[in-house]
Amino acid sequence: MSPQTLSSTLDALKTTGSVFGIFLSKGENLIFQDAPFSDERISELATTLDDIALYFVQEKRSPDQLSFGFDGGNLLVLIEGEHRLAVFFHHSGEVDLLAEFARAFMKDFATSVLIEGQPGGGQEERGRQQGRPNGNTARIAAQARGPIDPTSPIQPVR
Amino acid sequence: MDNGNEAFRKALENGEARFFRASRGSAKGKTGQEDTARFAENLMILQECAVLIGEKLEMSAVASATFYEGDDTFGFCFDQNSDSQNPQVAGAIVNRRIPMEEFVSSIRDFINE
Repeated sequence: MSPQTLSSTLDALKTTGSVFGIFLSKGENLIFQDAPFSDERISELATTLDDIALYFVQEKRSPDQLSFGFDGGNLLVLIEGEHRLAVFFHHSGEVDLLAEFARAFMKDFATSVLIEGQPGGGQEERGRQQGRPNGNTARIAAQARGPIDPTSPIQPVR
Repeated sequence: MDNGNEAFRKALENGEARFFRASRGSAKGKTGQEDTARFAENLMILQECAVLIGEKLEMSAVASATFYEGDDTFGFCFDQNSDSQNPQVAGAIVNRRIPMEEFVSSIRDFINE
């Protein structure tokens, strides 16, 4: 998928419904971003999503679509291999429509990556995913280890 | 897994949501201890993911979260009417992918029952 096609497709998604931001990443590396947050914050969020995806891989689990409703907006996350697509939007009722669009994009994108070969540090990313634990994955793991017993403490959301 | 639990078996057969409540360190459900433990584990993971993401976005209060994994849909909602010092959570697991909006609505309906 050419950079122009990638950009125009994601620009189209960004004008759908109440979407106010998008980014696409491979591992920790941003491929595309158009969101009303600083570059630093988006970069940190991409790293966090990568940590979350890595945690699930380590646990041999495979969620592929997550949605979070925050006070200030909603976040839809699609995970496809090493790629993550994050969509910020205002109206929670749009989640399924946006997910449908986003999933269609991710399928096309994944196909194009297979055809064109993986751009940008595939070997390095694979090495990182197999080896290095990090703070966030450890933090999620620590949370998950506790509550196997249903009587374990449930932490209030901060 | 909890195959001896009638409510669990029926929910799986009919593709119905299994609902749970959680507060003050305990989770409760009607589909057996293993299923409730699974809910509690997923709740803690998803809550921690929400906290990590919320920290980066400076959006600290999460109202709901949902994910698809395989054929399962999992999610939770905070009970907006509960005491902030003792937040109540309701959530569900269903063994099929249902629209996330419909799923969250069903949890909110459960909260309001």
